[in-house]
Amino acid sequence: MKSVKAILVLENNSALSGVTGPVPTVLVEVLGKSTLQRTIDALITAGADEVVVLSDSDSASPEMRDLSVSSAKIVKGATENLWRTAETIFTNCAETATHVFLLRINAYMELNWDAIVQHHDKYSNRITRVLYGEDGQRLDVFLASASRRNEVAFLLRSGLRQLRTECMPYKVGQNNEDEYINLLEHEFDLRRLATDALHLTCNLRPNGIEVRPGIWAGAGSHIERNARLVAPVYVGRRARICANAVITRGSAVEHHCIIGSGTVVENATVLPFTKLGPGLEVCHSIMGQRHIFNLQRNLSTPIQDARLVDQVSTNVGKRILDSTAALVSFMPRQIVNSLFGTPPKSATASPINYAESFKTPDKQPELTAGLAVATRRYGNQ
Amino acid sequence: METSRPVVVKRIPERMNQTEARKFLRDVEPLINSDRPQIVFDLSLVRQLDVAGIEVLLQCMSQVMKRDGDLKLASLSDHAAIILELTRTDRLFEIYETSTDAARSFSMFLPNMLRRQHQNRFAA
Repeated sequence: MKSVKAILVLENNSALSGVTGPVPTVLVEVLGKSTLQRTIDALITAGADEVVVLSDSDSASPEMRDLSVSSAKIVKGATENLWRTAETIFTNCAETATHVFLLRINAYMELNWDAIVQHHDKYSNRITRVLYGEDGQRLDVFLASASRRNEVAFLLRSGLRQLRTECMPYKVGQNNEDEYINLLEHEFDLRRLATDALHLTCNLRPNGIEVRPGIWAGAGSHIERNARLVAPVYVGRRARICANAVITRGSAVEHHCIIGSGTVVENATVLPFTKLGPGLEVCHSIMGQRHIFNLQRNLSTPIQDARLVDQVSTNVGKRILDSTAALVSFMPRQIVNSLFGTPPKSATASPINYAESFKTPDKQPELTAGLAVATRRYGNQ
Repeated sequence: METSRPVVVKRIPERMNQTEARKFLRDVEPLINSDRPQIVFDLSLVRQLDVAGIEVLLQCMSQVMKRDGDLKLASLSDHAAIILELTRTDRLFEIYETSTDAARSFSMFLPNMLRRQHQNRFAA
């Protein structure tokens, strides 16, 4: 009887630009779940008895240091001893398993795990390497027979780069299997993964409920009545879409995000805990960590003004405190406004004060006699 | 249509935050308050543009228009271009690739300018 276990190695060398900060790409949530968690779930669904995640404890990313996943055991190892720790884990796993998957988790993979095991047995491979694409790109996915400890030790010591004995590799899609790979090497890949999932090009399903055809909402998400969502889109758990906001063209608003009133999010991903101010237009971009990555310009830039883009606190206590303070200060503010006749600042107003910018000066400039006044066109459009 | 009035090209500082924006507005006030001003703002150096900076650009635009002048933007840095797009203010200005193009545009009709840009693009 076959018993399959998996070891996933999570290194800290796969972070993207400013939008994700130091967080490795596989830990960035795409449609409500990280790639790491989705891989674990896929392995468990395919019948893996145990999944062990080996993470780098010296990582600069707090998400990696305080890594938490469900249905898997986490083992932490120092950077210099990472592969030696993997060897120890393999030895432990091999005692009770017949096959062990070894993965460096740096891409989103929808593989037919059963087909890989069958391929491994069919060709009596010691270690099966998984290749991807027509040019045979390596995926850092291996299936080893538990009895081949020396082969595995050689592989692990080379950092999953070199096999001692070349065996018949498994090519993704070789049996017309419905398999999908996204290498997550660039911000484009992150965005493509979200759009592919929302357009049903892959088997990744958003983590939430399909409230309308093509509109997915996570638990506790709050979409105001006047907000407009054009399918397919995703709104993560506890995210808030304010009035008159428009979310369209396969956009993904991840958990705990706030989209200000009148803001348009078009073909964009808003990463967790991002707050977008009112009246903005976020198109073809990825937003997060007070940065914007523009996909058309292929450029990331920081946004220093908190009125445009801000970060929601990741601390639950601080979020509760902030909302309580806002609630408590609401009534006194209303009373003061009504007493002194100051108009309350509308929540739907753009951070740019157009009224102030275009106000008429007290003293009008003198017009030259006989001045011809022509109608002019403004802007490029 | 040729014009003899001067075109002033003003370079916007690297940081356009609250303080810098106010300082910049004080600097350009004499230019704006002239008769039918023709101004080009060069944004090639801009590395930080926040709401205060955009408000100053809009104020300048408003004042210039009231004096029957024109204000154009040129050489937008990537950061400035992204922020102007994000705040939807890019569509309020005429934007040119270079300050020279922007300055030259004052001396011809808009349709001619557009035709010329089209020809240039076609030639490239």
